[in-house]
Amino acid sequence: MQSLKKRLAIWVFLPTLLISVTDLLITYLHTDEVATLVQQQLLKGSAKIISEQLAFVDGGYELSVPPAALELFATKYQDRVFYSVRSPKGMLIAGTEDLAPYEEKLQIEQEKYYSTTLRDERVRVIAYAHTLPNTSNDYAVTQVAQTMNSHDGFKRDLFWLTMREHLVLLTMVVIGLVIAFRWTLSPVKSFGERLARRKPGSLEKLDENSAPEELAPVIHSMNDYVAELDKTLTSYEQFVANTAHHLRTSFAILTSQVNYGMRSGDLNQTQTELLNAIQKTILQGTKVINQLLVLAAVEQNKQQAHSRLASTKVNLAEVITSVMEELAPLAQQKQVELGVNVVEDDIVIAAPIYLIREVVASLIDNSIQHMQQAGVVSLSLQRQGAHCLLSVVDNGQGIPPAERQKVFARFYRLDESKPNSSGLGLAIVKEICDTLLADVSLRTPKNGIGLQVDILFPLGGA
Amino acid sequence: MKLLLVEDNRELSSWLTRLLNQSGYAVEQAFTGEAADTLLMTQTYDAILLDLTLPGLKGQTLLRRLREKNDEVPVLIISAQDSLQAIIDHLNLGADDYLAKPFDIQELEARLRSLLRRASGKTNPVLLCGALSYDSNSKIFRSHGNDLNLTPREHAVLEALIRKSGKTVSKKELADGLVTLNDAVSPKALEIYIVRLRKKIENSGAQIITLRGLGYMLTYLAESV
Repeated sequence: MQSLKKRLAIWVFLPTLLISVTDLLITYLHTDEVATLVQQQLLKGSAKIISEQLAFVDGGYELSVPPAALELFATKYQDRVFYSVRSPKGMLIAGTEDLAPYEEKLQIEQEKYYSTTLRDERVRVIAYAHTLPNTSNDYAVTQVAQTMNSHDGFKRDLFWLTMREHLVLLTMVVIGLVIAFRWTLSPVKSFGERLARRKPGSLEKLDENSAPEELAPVIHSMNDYVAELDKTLTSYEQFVANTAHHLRTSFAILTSQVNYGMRSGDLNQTQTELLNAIQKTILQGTKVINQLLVLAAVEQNKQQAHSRLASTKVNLAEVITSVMEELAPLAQQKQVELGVNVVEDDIVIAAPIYLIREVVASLIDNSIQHMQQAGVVSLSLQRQGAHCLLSVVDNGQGIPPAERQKVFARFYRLDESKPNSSGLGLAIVKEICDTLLADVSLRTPKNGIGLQVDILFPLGGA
Repeated sequence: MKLLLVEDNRELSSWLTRLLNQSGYAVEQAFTGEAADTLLMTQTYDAILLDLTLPGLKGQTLLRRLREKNDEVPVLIISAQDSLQAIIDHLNLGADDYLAKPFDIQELEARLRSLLRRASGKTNPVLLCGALSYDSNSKIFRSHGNDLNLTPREHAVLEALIRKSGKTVSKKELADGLVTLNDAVSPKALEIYIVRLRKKIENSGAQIITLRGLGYMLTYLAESV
């Protein structure tokens, strides 16, 4: 995923940096020119002063160099300065011999600048032609040389000055960018945070006025999607309700017909058996319808906010007792002894009561239905730290470890030949537990026989 | 006894009518809420069997109108929606009882009998569980109409159980009920009474079930569930 911030940063900062670097490069090239010009001006000034001091005394030339001529060059960079004044024939009148005579022809009052090496140091030199005193058209050449320290130093100073300016500029750009991000991107960010805070599966619409205009299409399409989902869910709900209603009504008619048949007297044995079998089938069918309805309800609950789920509080021991009373006749018929071990009767959790009933009933029913012969089904309920543990233990045939994950799938039946099982009981348990954030696990009981189902409910704030 | 059956499914309505006629009830059928509403303006009934999902005027509305008129006729709802919330809502609206479809005629008639009994003002002194009956006036237990011969302690235990039939009665409750008979009862002794009682009511269809850790419960076992 591309970050808007990163893109913005790249597209603002990079061009600024490019401009800065270009400007620095130009400045760098330019500083050399400037420094050279300054140096040339100094050299020229110095050469002029020296040349003016040349005097003709007693048939010879004399030169006393005034301090000013050399003080011109006094900087912190400590340059060395050389000079020489030569006659037209190249004879040294004054100054140093080291400075080689200027070879080219010069007009009077003309100067030339050049670079050379003097005593292993780079120097810039001016060759300045001027008239010799006491002659009409003879001229002397004054040369002044300066080492490059000042030139280079000045150039460096100039460059660093510009560099500092650019650094300040770039820093300002960066600060400006950060502020701009904070300011312009904060609505986007807070919109994202609001989305993240929404409960998963929430069907609430988003407020269009609370986000920047640019996000309006996003909000629009999200709201459309939510509305569509809401419609789908509602029609699904309606479909489930209608289906259940029709099936139940049909079964009610069937039941009435069987009841009528059974009461009509003079039935032979086959007829009685037949009617009993039909009645049993109706009961099983009803059970499956009810289980499917529970699954549909759980499915809907998943879509709804957890706050609504948690709005009711349930005393688990009360639910366990009433479910056991309800299933006691069935257990009795199957010769299953139903009982409790430890049941703490003051454990209250936040959950819809019908979901808890369904879990407990499905577990007990499952244990009873899968009992091959007379057996025992025991429940226990105990606190365990921030959770409470509901265990249902039976001494039936158990579930092999390899099958334990599969039995939670809808319509999965361990023993396909068993007609009483719909394969929905444990699926219901699992899905309700998921909805209630409870953890369900299967194990072999301590004594090694049968099945133990453990459900760990979070106690929450209840 | 005259009943009004409000059920939009004509087939179900007709079979239920036949069954109820068989049991000696006079039944009038209404297939819509409006028809029922009209009937209720001119006729009186001993009880109403009301389906909720009716075309047009809904069962809920019919029930509310009835109660707004201060008509206290017992109403038993028979409906295909059986969520706990639906049940609570309807009982709050003024229904007297609720039965989810599909239901067994025996169950329907048992609920109907109890509704009619309550409405007639006298609480029936006879408690029933299958073919086991207890006349709380004469203090006699009968199975299939034959008097049961019980010791005072057995009698006390069975009475406590039949008064709460379908619900668990803890051993402590049972023992406490026996203390009035002068001496404390050991759990062992209680078990012996239960064993004897089970034998004595064997043929009545009523059974005493042990819910280990919780107590005993008297319940009626239908034959072919």
